[in-house]
Amino acid sequence: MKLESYFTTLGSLEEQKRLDIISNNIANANSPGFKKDSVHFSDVLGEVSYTSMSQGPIHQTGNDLDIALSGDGFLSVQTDQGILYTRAGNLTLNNAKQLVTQDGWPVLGKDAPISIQGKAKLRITEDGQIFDGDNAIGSIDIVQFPPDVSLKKAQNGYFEPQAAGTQPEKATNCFVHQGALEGANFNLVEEMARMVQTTRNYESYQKTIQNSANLDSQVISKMSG
Amino acid sequence: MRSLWTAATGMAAQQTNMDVIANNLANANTTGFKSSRGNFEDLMYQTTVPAGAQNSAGTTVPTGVQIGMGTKTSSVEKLFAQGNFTETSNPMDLAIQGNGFFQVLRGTQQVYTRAGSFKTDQNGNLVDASGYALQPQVSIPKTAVATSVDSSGVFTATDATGKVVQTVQITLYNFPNPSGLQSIGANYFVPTPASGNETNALPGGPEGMGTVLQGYLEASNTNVVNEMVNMILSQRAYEANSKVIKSADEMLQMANNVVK
Repeated sequence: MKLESYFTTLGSLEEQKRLDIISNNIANANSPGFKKDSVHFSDVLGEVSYTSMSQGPIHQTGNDLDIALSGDGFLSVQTDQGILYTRAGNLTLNNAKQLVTQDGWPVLGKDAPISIQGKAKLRITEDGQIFDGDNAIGSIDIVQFPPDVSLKKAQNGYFEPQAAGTQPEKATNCFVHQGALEGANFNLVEEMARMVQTTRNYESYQKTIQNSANLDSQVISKMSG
Repeated sequence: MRSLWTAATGMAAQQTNMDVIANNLANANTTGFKSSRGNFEDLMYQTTVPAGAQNSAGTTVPTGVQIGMGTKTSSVEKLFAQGNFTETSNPMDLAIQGNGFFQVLRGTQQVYTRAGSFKTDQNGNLVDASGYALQPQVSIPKTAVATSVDSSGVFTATDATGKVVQTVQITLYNFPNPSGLQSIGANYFVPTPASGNETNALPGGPEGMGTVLQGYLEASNTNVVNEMVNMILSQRAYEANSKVIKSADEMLQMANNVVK
């Protein structure tokens, strides 16, 4: 096989992968706290996907158990796979009145789940303290990772540190907005533009493969003729 | 290509979202209706290049490649925000200002509702719009000409001379997690393992059940403007997902056309 058809085939596969990632971004348009991925191809077989941790848009919902984080923080969640981290703040209560995510895993306060009796109006302050009326009943543990720690996506909107066991630190520059949610952080127009680009790149790869095949058949027919 | 399926999960999610929005809007005038919200989250990720692996140049891959598989509906959650109060001046209409529910006996099943448009049946019992009796039962004597309910839920019936002929305490109920209640239609909710068991308390007490308002009904808590905005967003997201399918299809078509 000639080298050019090898490269163009690899290129086509890369473009398919790029479309896979774009489609996952777009499919998650309604997932609160979703962070977009992008893939970068450096040289042959050199590929890296990045998750952009940029702030998503915050929109009001008016629901007392919705919280949006602005800044670099995460909520700590006690799951069956250990403590995972999320920015999806569409919280709810379970039958034991604990503050849980939509999957039912408890959101951690200071190392323990948070119980909410809900006798009066629930209020969550900017630094994550929870008040039932005027009584302080706990605070949500908002954590952050140092810039050199990279995170990977676990399923269902959770993140985990790349190196297992990395401990986060207390978030210093993160605010909690009660009654609001953080939307997915991608720009639809940008993703569409990237999708068009992907399709066109793919098209040129296919054209190159075709040309190369045409050349081969011409050579074969000339030699044999 | 994964993207076909990924985009399909996105379209399915938007369809669910639209169904939820449609039901909220359809019930914009339903007394005691609580709107719902679809919650979505990303599916699992396929790690094609694990971070920390060695690449061909002998260095360590810093972040790897993770490709997501789309989205899924994690839950459709009922939002128990207080609805607006509509004044009806009907003494049998009761609204709850707070978190509680009325308990109604539907056949043999105890069900819970916030729709307080009560009436009296032929035996003088207080029943809801579907004819099921409020619990604990409130009976109004035949001699009663006027009824009143105070904010702490004490139901009082007086006769023509102004003498009190009946007083009944109305009890309210609540659950550890009201969002986990199951809607069974006709404004009724029934408990599930997720909602927890009911607790009862008197209106106006420290348990946060809320107070009872006579002569008012609680309107649906659907916010029509918000639902409209969500509908537009949902439609656009659906469209974007369908464009992804189209692009993926075009790419497959090109690949097929290489060999003629």
